[in-house]
Amino acid sequence: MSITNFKFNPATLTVPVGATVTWTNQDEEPHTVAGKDGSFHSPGMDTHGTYSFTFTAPGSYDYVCSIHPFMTGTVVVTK
Amino acid sequence: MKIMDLAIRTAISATVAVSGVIHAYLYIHGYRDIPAVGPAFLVQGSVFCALAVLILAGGPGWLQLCAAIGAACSLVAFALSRTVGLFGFTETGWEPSPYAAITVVVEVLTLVLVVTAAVRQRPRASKDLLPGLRPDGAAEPSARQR
Amino acid sequence: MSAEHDPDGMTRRQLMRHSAWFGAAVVLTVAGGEVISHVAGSAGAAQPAKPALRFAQISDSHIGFKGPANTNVTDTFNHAIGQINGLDYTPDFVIHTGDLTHLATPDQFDQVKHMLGELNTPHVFTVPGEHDSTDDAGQKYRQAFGAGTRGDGWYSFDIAGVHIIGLVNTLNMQKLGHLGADQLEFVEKDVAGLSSDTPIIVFSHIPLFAMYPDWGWGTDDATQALSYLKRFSSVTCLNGHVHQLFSKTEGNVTFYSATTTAYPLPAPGQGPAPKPVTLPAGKLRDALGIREVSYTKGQQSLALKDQKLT
Repeated sequence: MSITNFKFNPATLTVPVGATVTWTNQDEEPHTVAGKDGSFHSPGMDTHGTYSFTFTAPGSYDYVCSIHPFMTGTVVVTK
Repeated sequence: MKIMDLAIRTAISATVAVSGVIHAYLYIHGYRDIPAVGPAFLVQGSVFCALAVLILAGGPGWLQLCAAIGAACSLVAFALSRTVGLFGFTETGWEPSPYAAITVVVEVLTLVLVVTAAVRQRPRASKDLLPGLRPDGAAEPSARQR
Repeated sequence: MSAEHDPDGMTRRQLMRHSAWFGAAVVLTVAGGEVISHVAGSAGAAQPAKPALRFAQISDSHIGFKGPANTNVTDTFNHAIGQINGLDYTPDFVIHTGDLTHLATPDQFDQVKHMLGELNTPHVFTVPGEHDSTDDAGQKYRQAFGAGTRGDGWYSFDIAGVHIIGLVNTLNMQKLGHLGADQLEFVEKDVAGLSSDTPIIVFSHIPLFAMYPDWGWGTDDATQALSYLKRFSSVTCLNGHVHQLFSKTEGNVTFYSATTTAYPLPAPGQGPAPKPVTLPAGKLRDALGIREVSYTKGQQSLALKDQKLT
């Protein structure tokens, strides 16, 4: 998953349960990923910073960048 | 020729008005803060606008004389401001452009026109200066009659 | 209708006539003078009057930023501070409208605090930016700058007859800036007892008006906060966040966005995202700057003077 130009790429990512998603920040600006339900919240990622989270429960997880909340994305975790 | 007189009178009124209005405008837009010169602009603007109205209305000749004196003083003041300074105030060239140039032109015109009008008045003026004489030179009957 | 001939050539009638004209001239002159003075008075507002309040605004220093848009934000911030100290008067206070740090690290907060201490002014006020609240919902910010503030860091104070409110709209954001119920209640109660002619100044990081919602340049519940200020004759909102000068008037409120001391951002919509803009060499300083604000009693609007970084 890359964060480029203030966008999560891809905006919606589908992974199976147990998969680990890694976000890499390609922007000059720091970003975070924060699940709207609070299930995950990354520290600030500076340029080229990364953050990984393993999704153990199925469902649809909407998240935003807590610094720039107009940036949104979704991770869909399938069984 | 009455039309000519009227035309000259109107022209004098116009030139005086332009000078007064420009001075008033400049006063409003910054000149008011200049020591001595600022208030002088206010006085000039007020007096000239008043004179313009009255001259147009056909007032006595001394109004035009005042306008001429005022115009001459304004021109002198302008010259001083460009050279040695007027109460410490100096400006260069023709600033504020185009107002300065317009005012100079108009004030010179005032002088010219007033002199013209005065010269035209001369023949008739002699009648008033020698009240006892009729135009053909014969003596008027004395008014001191009981 | 007999005319008495006076030896010096003027009849009483003529004297009256001349006096009438002279009187008219005097009256017209005085009247004209009054009119001109009056127009001059309203045209040139009372400049000689000394402002009751003068302060400086500085914003978005982003200490910790390293990128081509500005390779030395510390230097430009220092320069801005020097520019404020170089004003020919001492500002009554200085306000930093947020994004003091770039990554909200303890070192960055320390550095900013130290640098702000160099300002030649009796008070320095701040409001946090979203960068200052990365990771910890503003805890470190409040530790460094939160003294005397309420809730998540908001506050108000009075100075020279002006009521000033500092708001935090960079926490709990959904898509735009957000004030939250507690803070809204604070604003409502805070201004309840003030007379409507009290000038109000509001500081926030994110604009309190919809400057460009697609990039998060707006505050979702600002309208409610501003509704509490509707009755005041003079309301001015100063914000940062957008790294460019912008102003807008809506009703009785005027909004002014300040520029940054770090790096410029694109104008709304000019590009895919609000990312740092790298300007051609030598042009960076023109995009950065500080702002002087003054309030003169009797004038409804504040006088702002934005200065580029020299």
